[in-house]
Amino acid sequence: MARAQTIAVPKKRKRLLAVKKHLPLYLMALPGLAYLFINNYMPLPGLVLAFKNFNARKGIYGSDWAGLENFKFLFSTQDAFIITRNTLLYNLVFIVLNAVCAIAVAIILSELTHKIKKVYQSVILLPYMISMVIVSYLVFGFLSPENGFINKTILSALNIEPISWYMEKEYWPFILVFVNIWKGLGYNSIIYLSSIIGFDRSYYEAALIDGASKWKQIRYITLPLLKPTIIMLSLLAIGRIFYSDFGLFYQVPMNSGALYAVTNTIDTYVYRGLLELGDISLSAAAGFYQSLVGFVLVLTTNLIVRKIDPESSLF
Amino acid sequence: MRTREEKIFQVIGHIVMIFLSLSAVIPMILLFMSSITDNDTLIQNGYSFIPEKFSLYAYEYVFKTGNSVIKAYGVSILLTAVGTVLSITITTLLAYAISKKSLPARGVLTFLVFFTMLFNGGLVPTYMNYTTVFGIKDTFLGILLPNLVTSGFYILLMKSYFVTSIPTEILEAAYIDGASEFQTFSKVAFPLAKPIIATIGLFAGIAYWNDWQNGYVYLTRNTDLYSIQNLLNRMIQNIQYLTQNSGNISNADVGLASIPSVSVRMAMAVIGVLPVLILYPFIQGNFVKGITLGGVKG
Amino acid sequence: MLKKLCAALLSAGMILAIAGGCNNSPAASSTSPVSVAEGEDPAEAVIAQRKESGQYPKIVMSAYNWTGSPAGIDRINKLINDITTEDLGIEFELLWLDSASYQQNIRMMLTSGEKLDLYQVSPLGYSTAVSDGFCYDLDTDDLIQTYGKGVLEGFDEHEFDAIRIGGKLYGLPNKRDLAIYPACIMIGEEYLDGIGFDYDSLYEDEYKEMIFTDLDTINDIFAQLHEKYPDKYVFSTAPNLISQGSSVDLIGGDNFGVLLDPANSLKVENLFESEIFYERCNMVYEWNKLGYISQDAISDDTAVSARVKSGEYMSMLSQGKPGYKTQISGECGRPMVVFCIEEEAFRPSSTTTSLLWCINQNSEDPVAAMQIYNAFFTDPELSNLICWGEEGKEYVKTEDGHITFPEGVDSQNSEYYNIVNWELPNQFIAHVWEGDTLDIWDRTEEFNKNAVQSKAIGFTFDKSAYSAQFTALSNVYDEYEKQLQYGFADPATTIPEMMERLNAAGLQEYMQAKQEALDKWAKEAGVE
Repeated sequence: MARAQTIAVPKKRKRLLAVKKHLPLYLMALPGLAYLFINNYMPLPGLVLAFKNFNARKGIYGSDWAGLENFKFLFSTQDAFIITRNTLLYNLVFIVLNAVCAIAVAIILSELTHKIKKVYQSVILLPYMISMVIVSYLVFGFLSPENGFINKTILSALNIEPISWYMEKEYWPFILVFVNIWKGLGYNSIIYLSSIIGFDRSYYEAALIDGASKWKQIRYITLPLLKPTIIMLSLLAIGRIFYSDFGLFYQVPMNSGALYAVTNTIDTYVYRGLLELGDISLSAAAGFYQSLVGFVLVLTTNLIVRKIDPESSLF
Repeated sequence: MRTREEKIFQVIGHIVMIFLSLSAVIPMILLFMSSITDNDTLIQNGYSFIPEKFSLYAYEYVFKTGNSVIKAYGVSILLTAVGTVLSITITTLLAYAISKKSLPARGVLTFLVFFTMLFNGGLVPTYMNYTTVFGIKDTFLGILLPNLVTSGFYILLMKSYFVTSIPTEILEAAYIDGASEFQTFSKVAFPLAKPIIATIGLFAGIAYWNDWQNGYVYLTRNTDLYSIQNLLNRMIQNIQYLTQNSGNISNADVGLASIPSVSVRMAMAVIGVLPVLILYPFIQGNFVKGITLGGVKG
Repeated sequence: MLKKLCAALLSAGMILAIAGGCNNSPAASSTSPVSVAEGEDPAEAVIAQRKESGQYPKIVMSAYNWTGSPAGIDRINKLINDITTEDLGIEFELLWLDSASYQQNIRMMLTSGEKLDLYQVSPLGYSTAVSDGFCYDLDTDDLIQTYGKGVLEGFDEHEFDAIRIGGKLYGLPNKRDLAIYPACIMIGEEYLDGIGFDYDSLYEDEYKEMIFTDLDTINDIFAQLHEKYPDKYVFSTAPNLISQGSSVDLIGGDNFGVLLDPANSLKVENLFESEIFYERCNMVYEWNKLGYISQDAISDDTAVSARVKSGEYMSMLSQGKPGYKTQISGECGRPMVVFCIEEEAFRPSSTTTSLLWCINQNSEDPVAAMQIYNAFFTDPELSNLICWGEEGKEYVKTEDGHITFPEGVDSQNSEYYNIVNWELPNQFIAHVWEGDTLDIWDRTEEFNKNAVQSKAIGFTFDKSAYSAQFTALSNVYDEYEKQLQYGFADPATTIPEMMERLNAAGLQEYMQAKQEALDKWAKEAGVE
């Protein structure tokens, strides 16, 4: 017992010293942490709403407990499987395809030598700038059964029967994936590009002297160096795997009922109910459920990553 | 000297990028053309690259009804400028601190940042916190503060950049030369981090420019503070409500008939994006030297 | 690590709890009990007392419009304020919010305890607002009986009974149209002229507003229209075949469990197995097969009347009411002829509680709030200010007694033009805008009274206990709604398919819950 204490004291002092040495760093972190505390942590107790039956007379914390009652509407339904499946599968496809496409574009942009690449870079960011509502009208401009560009111009030129795009669900998984990649490509590729630009050029110079081909440089230098970024972005995406972009799944298919089997996700399902119920406890419950699943998944994945490659893990 | 392989790569690269650029630009052209098409023609013929009947009425309508479009542009520009600078400052400082492997409690701090990405108290508690504790309703802070760190994501992204792309040796060298922590940061780390700062600055800027939700929530009386996106979004939604609830309206001259409901949406999208399109090359050319290849070499 | 995290979270929680805790104090009337002498009106006494003490309570009243705060709001507020301080000893602020954010803003103001006294409850839903505890009980200390006499006298007693929930009055009614002529079909005059259809001789009323006819006639007209104008669409669709196209009472505000014969029976029945639902769906299904309907209908969210205005569509379905012909002709940008295929006007249960005003549960001075509402309800000067703005600036009187825009002012540059008078306390005592007949409100009053009344008027259904079923049912019905209502699905096969899924989603339980609530309500309200 006494022995343990004598060891503990210097350890503690050492730690104090370390903290003191790093004081400037803590000071630098302070504004950010203070902000996160105000913006994110102070309202956090509001999560209890998910377990309450809200009544303004009693206030958020004084309202009666509802137990898990508020979560019932997410599970006790025949659609629970479909909406969970859709949300998960779309997100998995998005994670993989977005990464592949964005990395490819980032590498191409980083290797191009002509100045016009600046133009490319700005232009592909354009879709990211406009809201999903506007995107949905653009998609409608192409897919409208009566006047759409595809039916009116392309299919009629090929002598193919016009397609009722908003009634046929088999096309929509592809359309939604396409729209998602199209909209996010500029944004995602810039993230990877900024990483690539930061790489130490001497690796490439050495490779060039060794006569390594472009493909080999990409394969053996760029991609391995990108690994931590890829892992981090994927981990963060996994954290949001139970969320879906409401605009993409609700507005882009124009809320067409015939397509629900492939467009209904957790967010759109909840929205259709809450639009009229307007219950803040229920929406809190849905959000809590989505967060919780994401949280558990990220922790698990991070644990696995840390086992395999501690350097790349998030924390 | 360029190898044959290099040339092929360049050609293919340009082809891919031209294709992608076109796929981004063509819908934008369609968007613009729709905004200058007569509303009734739009309903009759759908969107078209070459409108049958031109009309600038949608723009006229927006500028006439939202009597403060110019002022809203001003608010947006101020908000974006102030917001981006503040956002980058606190993001960079925090990211730099938690990128230090020797920092005690680094894991906890990183986790605290990460945790904010997944859980939040929800809109109502956040609103109550900001209005009752900090009193930011109907002030400029109301549209500035809630967006300051759009997502913990950017902090982690920057942290990972500091870890992977800035060699520890360079920082160590600075310490040995007697530089303080702040000096090392401002003289060594900050310049080296320009690519990621530029990237995150760009995203923060876009987020501020495009934000309308905070205006919805935190501005009720002080409508002078509407940003351009705020103004446009309200107008779009109100037109939608108005045209759908018209059954309730009982007096004859409601002005309903003159609302260009379809083309106005397109015009608003154009009005919202246009200044960014005009300003973006300048931002890219000057402020963001770092992000383009060859600006900074590690 | 976890321990530290918990500590951080806990401290955060405490701060919020302390800060937020003070919001939940019960409404305390700042007006100290007034000593009323025998025979004196307490409403007058309280005004006198305010003036004597010089302490004027402030009342904030909020409603929604389509533009948010209008440019002239400060001027109008000042004009109103001058009257209310003079007459009532109350300072007043009218807060216009726009429809797009009204629900969110009001909900958060009510939750966080911000200053707000009187508000239009419709976007929140009356029964939701009551169950969330946002509404003050107006019978408390005879509040409405003492300070809201004008409102009490403005309606029959049973109108108030219809608003009560669990025997308590939480909402204040306003003056507007409460009934509909179901299933009216509007056709552009020029197209009828084009096929040589003589509509002018068919009018039976003196105002030449409506023609009562049957579906066969409409079908006949449509066939001729289609033949004469092959490149136009005959019919512009909307998902309103039941809500506006029939006299089915969608009690509780949803399609799951309805009254098919609301004038005579309180039996909750399944809409989707009803004859009328099949008939209406089949009607549009036939029309669609005949090519009357655009193939874009399902994905087109343009307003119905805007489509008619574009010149591409010739007709639409809606509900009729006095003055509707002028209104719809304005919206469609051309003179429209209104045909109704059902003879009787009908007053559904929902209109009674759909546009009520409530006093905030947390209001500091419910007495003053009640007095303000009463003043807007009874004083034409106040009603004109809130409805139309300032005379000379926003409107001028015409020779025949209407009002209209002054020179150089129009709907877009007017500084106060809200066109939401139907949600305001009393538009009936305000001026009539040019275009409507001067007796429009008398006719509306008659129309409300003479319409076939649903037995369930005043029934509201609190869905919060059935959120799981309701969400599931909404998702299933949404999936089929437009296909059926726009004529893209054969009702003979699609309805049974939908029924199967609705049943699996809990339709029967939901209907049963509704029936029980209705029976309980009927017993309390004394309806048989």
